[in-house]
Amino acid sequence: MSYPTLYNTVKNSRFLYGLLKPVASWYTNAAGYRQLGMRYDDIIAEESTTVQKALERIPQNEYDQRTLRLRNAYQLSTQNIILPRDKWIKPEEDIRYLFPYVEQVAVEEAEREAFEAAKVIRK
Amino acid sequence: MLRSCRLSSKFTSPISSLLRRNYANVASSPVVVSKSKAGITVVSIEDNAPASSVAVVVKAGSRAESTDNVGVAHFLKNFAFRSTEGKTAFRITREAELLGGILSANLTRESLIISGEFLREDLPHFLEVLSDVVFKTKYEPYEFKDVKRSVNFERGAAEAIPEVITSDTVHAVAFRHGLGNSLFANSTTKVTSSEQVKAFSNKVYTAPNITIVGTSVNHNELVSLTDKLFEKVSHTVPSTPIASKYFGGESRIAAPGSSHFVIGFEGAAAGAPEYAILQVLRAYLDGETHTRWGDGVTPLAQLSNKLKDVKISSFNAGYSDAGLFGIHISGNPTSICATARAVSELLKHNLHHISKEDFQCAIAKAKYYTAAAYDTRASKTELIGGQILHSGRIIPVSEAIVEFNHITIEDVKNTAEKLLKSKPTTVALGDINALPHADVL
Repeated sequence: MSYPTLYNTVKNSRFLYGLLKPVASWYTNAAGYRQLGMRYDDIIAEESTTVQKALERIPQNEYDQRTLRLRNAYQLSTQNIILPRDKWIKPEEDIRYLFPYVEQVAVEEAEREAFEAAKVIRK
Repeated sequence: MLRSCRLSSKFTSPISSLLRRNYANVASSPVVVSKSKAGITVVSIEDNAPASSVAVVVKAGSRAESTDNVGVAHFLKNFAFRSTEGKTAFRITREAELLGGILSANLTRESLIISGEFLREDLPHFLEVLSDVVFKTKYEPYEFKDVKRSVNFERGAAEAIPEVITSDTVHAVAFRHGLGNSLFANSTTKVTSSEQVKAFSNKVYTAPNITIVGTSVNHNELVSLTDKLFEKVSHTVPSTPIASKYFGGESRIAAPGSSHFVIGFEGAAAGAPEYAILQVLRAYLDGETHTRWGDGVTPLAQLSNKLKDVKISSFNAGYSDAGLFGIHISGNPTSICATARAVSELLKHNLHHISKEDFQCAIAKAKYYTAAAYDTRASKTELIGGQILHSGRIIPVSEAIVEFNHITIEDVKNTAEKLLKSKPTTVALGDINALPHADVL
């Protein structure tokens, strides 16, 4: 799940942040998932062992709410409608409830890989 | 150099000096006790074994549980070596494997023993792992599911062994709470989240509650490492557990398979003079045959050899403030009836006829049992860690054995009489229609 990112560079620079934040916000809104009542972490592709494992780790109530959001969004999508404006997910409600777990699992997988390839040198 | 040459050069050195060195090692006190800067007791036992071990012995056995978190000690035991802030569970296991060590956690009624066994030079690594387990385990909610699965598995495996069920039940009937708590979290446990386990761990992992026991390690190294790794330990003095009270009673459990019957009485706390006397009585009553073709010398061993379809064994469990003495009979229900009757006859009337030879034999056996408890790394760690935690003093094996020399036949008779005054605890497991009741015996 790790890929090259300029996230921290942008976040730490006031100039870049001020420049890119409006663009980013516009893009997120244009993506349209919030209009279907979903959070960003609901649309992470879950067809990978890493995300599957992360999904096993989130608290049960988070998991249930996720399922509910996905079902509602699917229903809206088949009806070709979006939610009324007051029911859209607000930016502050768009919480990354899954991503920390995905990162944790990814770190563990990388660690396992590293151990599988390790050579033992005794002092 | 050829191996044979090297060997022969060893023999050319004067043998007398080798011998002197060996005797000096044996004579020097092998157990050293000191306090770390943070106030943790550090014990090291030098037994010149090729492999070393270090263990954190915590006063957190099943008796430390309270009514609202019964079973939590079993969960805490299974949370050992799960992911910590610095290392994942996978890393802890893999590193131990690469170093050729063994990590294990063991729960008794009085203590939780988290230990590592390894080659002498790996002490810093393994003590660090143990300190991480104590201070940095994350108790992640998602790990709780895994831990619960292993807890349930261990309970299932234990419940398949009748001896474990009878031992757990006899403690539950005899002491009800505290020492009566089961070693295994059962299905009615109120522990449902890792938060509860974490709260319990914060309560028990305090300086006065912890002893670090090392075998075959350098004492100074162990102390300096403990100073460093355990400096953040909390100093809260733990609340003293409620004193154990003996109740006694009867429990009958219907179960398929072989039948078991246990008669127990109020024993004595480990370390009390009466405990040693009970050890002798236990050795006298013991129904096991210790030589292959012998009939056994004790009356119960002879009885079980005559009946052929029962096995008799006696136990004398000593805890810090109470004890449980008893006899376990298993086999055919009708023979169990006969044996139980014979046992109660023996206890009530026949103890006055102990012959001098039998008594000497029992003393010798009791001495052997006591010495054997100091034998293996694991039992030594448990024994000495417990002695430090509960009495603050180590009883060396020589002292424990010498104690038996002062015991007389009269002592044994008096103790047996006192034993019979306590309300008996009986557990019948198996074919309860055929097994005897306590009041008929």
